[in-house]
Amino acid sequence: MVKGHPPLLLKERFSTAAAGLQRQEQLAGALGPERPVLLLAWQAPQALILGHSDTRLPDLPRARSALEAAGWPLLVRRSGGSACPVGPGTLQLALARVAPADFSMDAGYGELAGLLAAVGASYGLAFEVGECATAFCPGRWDIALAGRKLAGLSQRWQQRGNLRLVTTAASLNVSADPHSLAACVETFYRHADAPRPCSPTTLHSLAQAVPEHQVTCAKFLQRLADSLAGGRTSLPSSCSIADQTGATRQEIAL
Amino acid sequence: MAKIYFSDEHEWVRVEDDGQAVVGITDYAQQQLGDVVFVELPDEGKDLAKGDEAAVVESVKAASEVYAAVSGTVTEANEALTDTPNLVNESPQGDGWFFKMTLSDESELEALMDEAAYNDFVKGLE
Repeated sequence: MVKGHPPLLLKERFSTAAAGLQRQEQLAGALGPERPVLLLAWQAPQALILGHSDTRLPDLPRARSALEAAGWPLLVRRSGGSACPVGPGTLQLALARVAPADFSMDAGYGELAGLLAAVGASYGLAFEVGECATAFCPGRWDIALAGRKLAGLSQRWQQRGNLRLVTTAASLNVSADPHSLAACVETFYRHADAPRPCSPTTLHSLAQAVPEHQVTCAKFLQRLADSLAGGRTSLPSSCSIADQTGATRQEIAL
Repeated sequence: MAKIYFSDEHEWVRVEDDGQAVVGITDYAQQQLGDVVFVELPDEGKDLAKGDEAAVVESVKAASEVYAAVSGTVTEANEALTDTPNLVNESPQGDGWFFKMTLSDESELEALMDEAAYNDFVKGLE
């Protein structure tokens, strides 16, 4: 985290996912010397957020019709990756910061993963980092429990004048039904003529992991705020990422 | 003989014998990004001022805007990247070039690095 500048946590709820995504994508625009780090947490009704590469699938119009008829409007984000469903029970987090010249992509991912791990630790959970290859939107910085994806991270780099800005975003499944999320993604790719199996058994939620806590997005956010206030969010030096194949995983220990 | 320049934003600009400049991202940049899955390129004829957003490159897990390292007018975009974006990974300074442009102010090249200076710059980041 930027020394001496704990992130300012902004909690927002939107009437559409499009509005939330727009807010997230404009977040870095509010950064400056006086505010070098911002953390946005937002919720919105359900939508399927695509990566740009998804827009070139063979039958996108048919997939759009099918998903919209099922109540899943399609959006496109500017932070890479592939289709990721959001909605009630999922929490969107975006950490925007000014990046020094030697600040790397992995450093940005590590910061947000560290924030999530701090909250996970408060529930007695040790999150794993590494690609969940058979879950939706797989990536090296997937966050999982017992190999089942709990959150996916993506990142966008921008420049404003001499400032390098990076926004690292996470979509965290707090309490959404993995079956619903998996079905949405599988339906999208099947109708787009690019089938990609997505089993709900590859997905997880915090509510499933610690049912005794009855975790909600509001409760998670409170713990996140407590964690930030308590300064328990720095990334440990032992944190590393899995290799490209996702064959190894490493717990983030705080 | 073509001369190549580098920016601290990990772009390269190769000035060909005919004065055309070819622009792309460096090997370091493509390694940082990982597997490139999408490239949005500027339209032919677009005027770019130094620092303008010129392109967008997306990998499996990150997106980065590519800014014009020098000013000029786009003369050609590498359409091969539309169907084969991983050319950026396979040959960042060859077939993975982004666009060509005519320079409007060649003196802007003086602010860029030569290959040796860029290599030192990258070593300093590691």
